[in-house]
Amino acid sequence: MTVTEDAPVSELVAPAPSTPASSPSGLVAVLSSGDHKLVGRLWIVAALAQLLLVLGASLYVAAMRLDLAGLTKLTDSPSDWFSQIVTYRAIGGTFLVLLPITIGLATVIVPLQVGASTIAFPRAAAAAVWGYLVGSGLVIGAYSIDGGPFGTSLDGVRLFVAGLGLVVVSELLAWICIMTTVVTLRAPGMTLARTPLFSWSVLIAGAVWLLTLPVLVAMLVITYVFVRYLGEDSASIYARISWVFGPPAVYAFALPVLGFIATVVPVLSATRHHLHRFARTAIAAVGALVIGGWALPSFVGASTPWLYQLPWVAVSFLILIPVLALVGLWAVTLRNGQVTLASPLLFAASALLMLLVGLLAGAVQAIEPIKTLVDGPATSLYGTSWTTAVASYVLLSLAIALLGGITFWAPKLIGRGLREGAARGVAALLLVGTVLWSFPDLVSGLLGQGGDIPGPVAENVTAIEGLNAVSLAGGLFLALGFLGFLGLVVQAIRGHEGVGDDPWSGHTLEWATSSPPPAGNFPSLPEITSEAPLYDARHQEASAQ
Amino acid sequence: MFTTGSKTFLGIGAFSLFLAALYGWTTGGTGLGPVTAGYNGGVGDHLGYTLLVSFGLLGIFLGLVAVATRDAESNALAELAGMETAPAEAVPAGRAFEPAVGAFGAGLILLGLVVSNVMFVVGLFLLLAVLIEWMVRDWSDRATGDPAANRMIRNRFMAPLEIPIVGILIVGGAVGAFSRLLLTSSVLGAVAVAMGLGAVILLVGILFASRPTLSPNLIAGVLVIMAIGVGVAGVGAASRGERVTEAPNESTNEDTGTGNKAFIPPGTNKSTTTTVPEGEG
Repeated sequence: MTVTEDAPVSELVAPAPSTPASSPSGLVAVLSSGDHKLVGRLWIVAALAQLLLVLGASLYVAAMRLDLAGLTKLTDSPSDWFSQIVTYRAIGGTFLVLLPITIGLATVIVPLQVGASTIAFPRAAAAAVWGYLVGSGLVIGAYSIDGGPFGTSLDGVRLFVAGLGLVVVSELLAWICIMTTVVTLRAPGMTLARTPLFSWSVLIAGAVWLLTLPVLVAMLVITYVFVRYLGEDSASIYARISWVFGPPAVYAFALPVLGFIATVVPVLSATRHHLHRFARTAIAAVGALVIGGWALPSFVGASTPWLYQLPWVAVSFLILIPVLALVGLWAVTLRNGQVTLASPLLFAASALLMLLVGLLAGAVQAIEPIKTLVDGPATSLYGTSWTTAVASYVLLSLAIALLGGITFWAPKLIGRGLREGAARGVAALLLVGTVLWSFPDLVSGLLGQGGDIPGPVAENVTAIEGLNAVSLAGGLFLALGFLGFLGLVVQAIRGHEGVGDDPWSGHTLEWATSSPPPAGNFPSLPEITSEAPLYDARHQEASAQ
Repeated sequence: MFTTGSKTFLGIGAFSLFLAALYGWTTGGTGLGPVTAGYNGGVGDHLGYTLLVSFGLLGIFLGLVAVATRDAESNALAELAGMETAPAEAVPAGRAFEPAVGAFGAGLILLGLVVSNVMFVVGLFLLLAVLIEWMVRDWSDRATGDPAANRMIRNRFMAPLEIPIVGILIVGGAVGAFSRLLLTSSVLGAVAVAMGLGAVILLVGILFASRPTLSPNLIAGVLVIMAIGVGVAGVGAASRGERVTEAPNESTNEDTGTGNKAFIPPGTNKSTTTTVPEGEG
């Protein structure tokens, strides 16, 4: 039989564009979304929840220091849970609360600031937040079964090391996503030189963490091997990782503080940032100086040559130069504009003040001839509660800046603004709390009180206990401030009134979209010819009229 | 030519190399060693010198990358690619459970490192499955410009694998959990559990059938809760172990006339107990 008909032609037809699947909602959306706004909010909410635990631990430690003699019983007991809580305060405060809030805020705001429709590697960003949640659950679980540093449960100690490793790796992954967004997803016209200063500071901070945190991960891997196979004592864990919370490594936490202040000051002065390019360089200089785990005195043995200590002294002093330069730039910016004393500016001022005190105190402790004021053999200030106070000042300045950031960007985060008057009150409470919490530790460090793990002291006991009481009062102020802030956020979320797309008359692109931003972030973008495109557009309109 | 990013990185690189040379000479370096990487003399302290040189080379490498990629500026990249306008950004990723499940898998692996090998292996398999799913989803997301078509392509590729595997896991998990529950209960308790669970399933089925307008989300939620309940009960039962059973004695076997007679030497206690080792039931 002859086939006369043509064979049917199979065509490769491109499917007609169809409507996207309906957007998921509820738990399914939370579990499956790669939207940077939702992922960032998850970071922030989870970290704020953990803040309550860290706050409780901090107040407990502060209360225990009221009776210095009684600490002997606690730290000498076989299950040294007091030291465990001290370590949880430091590790939880940095890796479970402050870094995650920084990452969360950056995850939401950076893509908006650079005019991107998404974060780079959105699913990796989602994996990072879930990894953090699982890892932090393991860390808390480990502490609850007598694990963690100074723990006696071997399983708990191993679980702690593994869980903290997962947390740190997740945070590294998140930083990679954020940095890649700044580097590769900037809108047309936004050169690296025109990148908003918050995004720039986050890029620098990410670079610092990218160079620093892998060292910590390696330390954790080594610790796991030592604990599991060589039967190492759990007390050594904290000694291995506590360099992250000490100067100069702790200054890396300050980078987003500088970025936040540099964003808020020109907006609330209704003028351009004075010498934007110079500010960018100064922030980069701070970043370059804080990549200095190698400059830590705790890495240095007694027999090492003097040159090993030179970087430590140099970093402690040099870091003040770019920060003071930035202070000068902000002062000029404020003078050039019309200042609105809104709550974000109060948060910014408080954070800056605390950061400056912290950096100055850090420089003082690097001066070798300054010793503790004790009758016995005087020691260097490094390692006393002076060092703890330096870290407290820097970390609390970050906490204040982050809460200020949430207040400033609340319209983009939750679609509503926080109550202005109450937010100002919170800023004041946090400032007073930080001063009362940290300053007594500077003085008691001079009087000989120990640093990381507080313990009994030989001299000046009454004076130190009195200072510790003031510190506890500061802790209560801080707790009141943090709880008040959480209340403000909850109140704003439950409220119904929108705040508008650009309540602060912002300068950068995040204010060019709706509050909260839609999927894809921007229906259209303004022309970008400077670091403040919305400020330009506003002034062009005004001059045209 | 030199972009902002390249200037930053090249500056850091050059500064680090300068520091390395300075460090080398002040820690015992001789001659031109510190500037020739030890070719013409000593470099001083090896560790610090190596770190600083590595840092310098890294900075220079990143600086050159920044020059080559024009700081990843979209307009410059478009020009480089010979396009008139900058290429559009990738669309935001759609729904994907892989990140959350992957993190759960990683958690299981870490927990397994400490608690049990079984958990470690389950976590490893979960992570492997996530890796495959993630790769396929990323590939299919870029197959065409239409998300619905991409979903179809992905499902056509993965559904023949996913459906049987997930089916086996669900059925196997349910049977396993039920069996653990029945084996840990007493004889009468097992009957009660079987009847009770059967009745619950029947009632839920009747409810769903009689209310066809029920929200699919509600139905899914109830089923998920039931599945989690059975799973948790199964795990709890497994960790508790199987019930201790009375060994049948001679008279029982003789009475029923079934089964093998157990040989019990005269004079020994006729009532003995047997237990099945955990995990072998």
